[in-house]
Amino acid sequence: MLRVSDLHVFYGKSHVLWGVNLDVSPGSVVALLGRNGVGKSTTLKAIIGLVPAHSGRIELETATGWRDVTRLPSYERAAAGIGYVPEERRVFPYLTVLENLRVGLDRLRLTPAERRHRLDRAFALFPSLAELLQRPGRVLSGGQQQMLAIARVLVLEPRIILLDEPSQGLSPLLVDSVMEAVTRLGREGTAVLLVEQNALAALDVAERGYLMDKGAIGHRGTSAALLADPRTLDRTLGVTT
Amino acid sequence: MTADVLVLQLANGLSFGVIFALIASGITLMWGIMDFINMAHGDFYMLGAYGIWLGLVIGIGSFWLALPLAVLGVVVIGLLLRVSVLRPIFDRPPLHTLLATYGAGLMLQQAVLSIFGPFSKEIALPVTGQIVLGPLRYPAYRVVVIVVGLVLIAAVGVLIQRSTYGLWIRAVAQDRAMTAALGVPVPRVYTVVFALGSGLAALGGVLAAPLFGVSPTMGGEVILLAFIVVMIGGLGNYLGSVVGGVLIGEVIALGAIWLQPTVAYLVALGLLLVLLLVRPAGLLRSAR
Repeated sequence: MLRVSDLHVFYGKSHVLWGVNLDVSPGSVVALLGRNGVGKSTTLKAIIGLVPAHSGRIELETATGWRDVTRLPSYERAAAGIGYVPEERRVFPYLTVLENLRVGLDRLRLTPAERRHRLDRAFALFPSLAELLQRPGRVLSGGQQQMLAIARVLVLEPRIILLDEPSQGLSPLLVDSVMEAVTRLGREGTAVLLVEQNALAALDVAERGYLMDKGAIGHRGTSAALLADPRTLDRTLGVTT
Repeated sequence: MTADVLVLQLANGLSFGVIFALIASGITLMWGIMDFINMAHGDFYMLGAYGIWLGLVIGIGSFWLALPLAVLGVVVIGLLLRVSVLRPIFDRPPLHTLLATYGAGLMLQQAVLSIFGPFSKEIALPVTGQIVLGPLRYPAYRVVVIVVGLVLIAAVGVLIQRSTYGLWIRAVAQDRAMTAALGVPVPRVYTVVFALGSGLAALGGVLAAPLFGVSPTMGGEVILLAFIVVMIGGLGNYLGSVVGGVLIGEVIALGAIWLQPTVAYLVALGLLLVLLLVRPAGLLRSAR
């Protein structure tokens, strides 16, 4: 579904990603874990095209085969099937909830019935959004903004969703419902690449995980294998199981 | 001063203001949304005026028939400028686009000067006669300028609020990168914004031509005020640029009751300076 090979990224003169390799297969949930500042969010930004890749390849599996998207602008990557939910949520503050949902949706030529169906699916996952359609994004709570940020990508039905720190700033109850949504996405066939500070929660819903350290992938494995290796988790993430 | 003079000057201020608003709303769209200062914008206004003059000279009998052709011609020139000069340097620092558009504006002025000469041209009023309201008589064409200008400004406003491209324009103004990450073709949105902006400026030039004449330097005379109007209205705020445009038109017109026109202009600039000191973000909020 998604293949990243030897990805290098620079911020100015700073070399921040040092040859990242990872892959996500269709319908799987994969966690990308690491301490603050190791390059997890930068990896996601490079995949969607918000920061340029210095070298390496980013490939997406489409209906017609593998497509190299490394040099495409981000709007073409999104159109090819990559969805991105940023860490800061970045809902449009002066657009209503419905308009936030429409920004990407209006690009697709859908029948009114199909459009309704997609919105209903998003509201089924996050029912409270349906009550807030005419509210501007800026007045929503952190949890509501997170739901909106995820929903506005879900309605596009991407092949893969890059989800950056979805539990950040949320109450434990909301974290549970977001993680449940992630599990459901995987079950329904959407691949998810999940960046998460809460490593245990992420490995709980993911099939596999990558542990990042200093701009590169240090360890990889199934969630069960990673959870069974407390020394590595402790050394890489500072997590005690 | 009688009440009649005051009412007539208020109406004059509104007609000036609508023309300022047409120019400034184009600047605010480009600046607020594309993050790009178009120093050639005043020349789109000038080209609109030449377009209507040329249309009438080559034999398009009706001003109203020549109007859409003149506006369309300027939009085409604007889009050619975007493709040839601006697109290649779009991601460069603002100073580069500023200088490039300034240079492009000079080229447009020189081209007009070479082709049509330095002397200003006159255009007959397309609507003659006066509107009589009790003791007041007011030139009908100025009323037409106010009505046509406001209707078209409102039409573009509705487009921005209701259409898909309008939604995308507002989204880009708030978060360009996130809009692109949702799959919106941002360069196409820029093209629409550029076309709208250059079209609005051209429309201002067309409507102004019968009132003020047509000359190669007319763009330079209004562009500074138009930029100030944009700052007053709030960067990227479409409604703000309209309010700012009308405000500056009224200040100049009412100032002219008591002062020489040049002094009235200075007073207007002074008032705007004070306004910007008191409310640096503009009267209405910035779109960003």
